[in-house]
Amino acid sequence: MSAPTFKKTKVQQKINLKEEFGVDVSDRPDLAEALGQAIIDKMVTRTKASKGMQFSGNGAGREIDLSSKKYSKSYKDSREFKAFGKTNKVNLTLTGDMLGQIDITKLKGNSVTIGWDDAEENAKAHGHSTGKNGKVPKMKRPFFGVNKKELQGLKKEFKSDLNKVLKEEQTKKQKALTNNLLKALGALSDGKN
Amino acid sequence: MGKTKVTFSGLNKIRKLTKRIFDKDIFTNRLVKEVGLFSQERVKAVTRTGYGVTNSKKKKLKRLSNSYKDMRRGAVKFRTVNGAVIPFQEPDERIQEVDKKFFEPDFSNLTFSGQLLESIKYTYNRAKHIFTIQPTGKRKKLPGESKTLTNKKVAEYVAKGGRPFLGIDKKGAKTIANMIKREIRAQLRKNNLKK
Repeated sequence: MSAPTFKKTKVQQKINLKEEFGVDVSDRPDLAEALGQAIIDKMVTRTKASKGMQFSGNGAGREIDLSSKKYSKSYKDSREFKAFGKTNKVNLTLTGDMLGQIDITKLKGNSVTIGWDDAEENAKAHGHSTGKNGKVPKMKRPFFGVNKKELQGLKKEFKSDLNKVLKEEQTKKQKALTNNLLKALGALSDGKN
Repeated sequence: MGKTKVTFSGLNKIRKLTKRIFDKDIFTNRLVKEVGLFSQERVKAVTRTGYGVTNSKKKKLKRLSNSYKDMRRGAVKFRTVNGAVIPFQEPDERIQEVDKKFFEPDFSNLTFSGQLLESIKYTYNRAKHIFTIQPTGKRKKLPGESKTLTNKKVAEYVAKGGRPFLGIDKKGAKTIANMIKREIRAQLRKNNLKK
């Protein structure tokens, strides 16, 4: 599974759905879209519950507690903090735009890419993830990306959808085999005649 | 400008194509509530931070006049005597009723008593798919006031005075579009399971 990339201009995670879910969804964009959205929902729900995601050098992701990284006093005293009704809960939600705008930025075959198409929201995410963006957050609060365990959870959640595609795939294969066998029979019969 | 209408021009094409799907499967009660509440609270929050919205663009609200700042600091009050506005060196009685959470005497954010922003509510017209975000109801009479206006009238007054605020900024609209996308994807999945 590939870990997210954290570039200043592009924070994203590319996931191969066939590898992760064991089913070829390349001609099922509807299911690919639903899976992509479920991955986004997983990240957002987790972050809103003050849980982040830290990826190590080998690409493995580990859930971390964001609540220990408390908001600064100056941030809590800001007009924005009060106006948007924010509480002390560290959930990376002020206006709601950063988490609300995570989207499927590319969907091709079995590959889905999750990220932002908005430069400002991307920069915010980069700052939170790396702690390097002086403009917005100074403290590192990594949250973006899903790990293997979360994807396994989704695999269970989508079991019936995936099984259905598998069955359809098998039926397709069976049909193709039947057609080929019939063709072979036909060819042999032709040869006899 | 007493209200703002939020329409989804891109989605109108889909609506024409599949009206039934749009009405029943996408704009579910849950989504209507989510979009409506988000829009309503967005207008309040953006205004409280000192911004208005014109043509989907966020713009700092016009500054307060020095005399009005004096009144908000509790230094003077103004009375109209024989058609002329006369300042008196005494606190305006209304100062007792300020919204302590968001009021700052020198800060232009359309907050004094807080009634105007607090009254903002959304309504949704299901036939036309239009969300309307507007101030509602009549204002509570403050000390020293002789008449009460509706919040809608006050919104019109402040907008005319150069502080338009009822609108959704581009970023907010994008977040709303994503809420709708999520619902469409959820319906795609449901539909797949039905087959």
